[in-house]
Amino acid sequence: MDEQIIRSTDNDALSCRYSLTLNTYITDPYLPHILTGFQKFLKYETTAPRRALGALTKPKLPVINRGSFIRIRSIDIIIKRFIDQFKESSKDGIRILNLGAGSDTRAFDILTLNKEKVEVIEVDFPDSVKFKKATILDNQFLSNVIGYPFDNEAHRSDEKFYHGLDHTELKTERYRLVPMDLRETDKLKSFLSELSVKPTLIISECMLCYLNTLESEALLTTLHENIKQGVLAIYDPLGGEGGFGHVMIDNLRLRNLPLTTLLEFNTLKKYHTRLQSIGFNKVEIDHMYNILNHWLPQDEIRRISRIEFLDEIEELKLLLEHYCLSLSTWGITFDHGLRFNDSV
Amino acid sequence: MFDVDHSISLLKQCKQLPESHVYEICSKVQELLINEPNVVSLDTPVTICGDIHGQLHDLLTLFSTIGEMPYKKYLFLGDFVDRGFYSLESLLLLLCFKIRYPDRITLIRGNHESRQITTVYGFYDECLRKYGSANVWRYCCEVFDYLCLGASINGAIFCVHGGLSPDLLNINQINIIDRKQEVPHEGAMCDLLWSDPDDVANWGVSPRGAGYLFGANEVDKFLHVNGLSLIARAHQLVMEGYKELFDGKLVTVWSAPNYCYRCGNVAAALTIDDDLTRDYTVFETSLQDVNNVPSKKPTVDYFL
Ligand SMILES: C[S@@+](CC[C@H](N)C(=O)[O-])C[C@H]1O[C@@H](n2cnc3c(N)ncnc32)[C@H](O)[C@@H]1O
Repeated sequence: MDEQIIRSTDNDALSCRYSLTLNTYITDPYLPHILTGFQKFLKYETTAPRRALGALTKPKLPVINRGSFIRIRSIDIIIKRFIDQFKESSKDGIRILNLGAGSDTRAFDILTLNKEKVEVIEVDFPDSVKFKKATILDNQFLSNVIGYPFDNEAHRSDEKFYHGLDHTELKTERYRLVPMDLRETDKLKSFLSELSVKPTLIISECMLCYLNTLESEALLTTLHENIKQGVLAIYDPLGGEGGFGHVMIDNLRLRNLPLTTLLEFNTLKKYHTRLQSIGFNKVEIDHMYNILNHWLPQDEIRRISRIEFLDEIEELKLLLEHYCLSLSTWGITFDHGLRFNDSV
Repeated sequence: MFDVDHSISLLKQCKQLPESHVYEICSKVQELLINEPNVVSLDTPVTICGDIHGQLHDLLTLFSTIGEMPYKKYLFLGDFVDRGFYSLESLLLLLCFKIRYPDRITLIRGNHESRQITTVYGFYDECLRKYGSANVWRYCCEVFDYLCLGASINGAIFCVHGGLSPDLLNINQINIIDRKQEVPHEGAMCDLLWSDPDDVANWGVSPRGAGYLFGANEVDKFLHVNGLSLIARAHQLVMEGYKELFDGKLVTVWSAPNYCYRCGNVAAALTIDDDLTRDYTVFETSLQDVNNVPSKKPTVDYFL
């Protein structure tokens, strides 16, 4: 599959997050800085489509905003509960490993809120990593957050600065931005084997769906075998049994974006079995419509329902039933207190 | 020179009309609509259609499947615009039919036939994109304010876009509403366009942020007081195209197949015969994939 096309999905994720801030669903003090970087450096990427920049800041429809909101909030909730439970109790602290992190701003938030005992590692394709690295190094605020010395003099010309950057890892005491194709299992294995043992929360937010069956199986197995104390949170689309999945495949084929496992693991049950058969002994899963209704406090649901009129509840339901969130836990016990689907 | 038959044939080919013709269509339709009561009385046989949402190609499929005017008589329950790629063409086509065959087609207002909603859900942007100014959108919004709020078929079936209102028990009460205004945020007129049937005892809070949820008891009461046997409404996506509720006393009809080019649903229209039997016609989208949409279009959004 064409790497550039997969990488471009991060623009979608970013524009959804941006739309949420526009409409006051969320506040994200880091997002404007990331966006500045995109606007500055995207033009130096030879393969970036011209319209990409304009599309980044276009507001989304209410149904997409609500869906993006629950996607982001649900993973934030998991991160918070993980930190709350393990940060103090674990002697060596904890680690958060974000696979296919793209332009995600969570790392900055986590590092700001937790000055010690929490380490964040983000992994993405080398070109995406270089992009984020340029954005961080070019920005005093973000450099400060990750604890990297900001060099004001280093880059007078954006273009020279960008082209002068290499694809190597960006590393500070508590933050690592690692260039890696997650399909290259050997590299991943040696990377993981060098990490110390501590409770690790692995996030795969709309990433696994871009791998084929064998690649995803290899990735999951490698994570399971090389991390001793893990919680793996996966957010992914779910093909379902009706027309929705087929239409999604057709629509995304227009962007040359094949989703090869969408119809293979198309129900909560099959997705659950997929994870269990890797060897994760505790797997919990639900679709996002239930999570929207079960995870958020009533006053928060009321707040977001009031932001915009939603013209079609059935559409939101249909859409959210076709995305799932799973938690696989091994080597530790995670008392998250969150409600999952108990009929799976 | 404006010629309604010519406009119809252009619209069927998805071609853009000159702004002056749009103006003319809108003024002519207003003259017709101004004389309609809030609840129009219709006779059988008539075919009831639900939401269209700018899916012009599917609207054409609907006509070719069920039959063309003037041989068939149609009642559209609103939501002609927004979401789909061809809101303007779909709306104008229906308005042209109204001019051409005023007694063969009735158009009811949906919650999307509103200034506020169309600025969020696409119709405003579409007009701006196609004409470079908001004039055309403004002409259409004027028409929206004149659309009637409901219809009654043979005095036995009440038709509305959304549903019931706690402020209304009798159809006569609907007829005294001053409808010629933007859809209000609350009150009887808003509820007719926004409410949904649901599994509640009487009335519930709507998660849409407008209108109410109403239960079987309220439907029974409304049918009894008005001597009716059925409420036919649209407003909610139904994967099978139609859905009867409350022992068949209420039906939802949905006429936008593969809604938003994303949902994968089929659509339906409901023909009521002279003996009030219900004949559902189910149809699929005519667009196999969005690729075949013959002009510039926004991409379909997913969470990626
Ligand atoms: C849809 S984006 C999601 C970004 C971010 N996780 C979020 O939810 O905001 C998918 C990301 O996964 C990355 N990705 C996909 N396949 C990958 C692979 N094989 N190796 C590394 N990164 C990958 C893409 O480059 C992209 O940044």
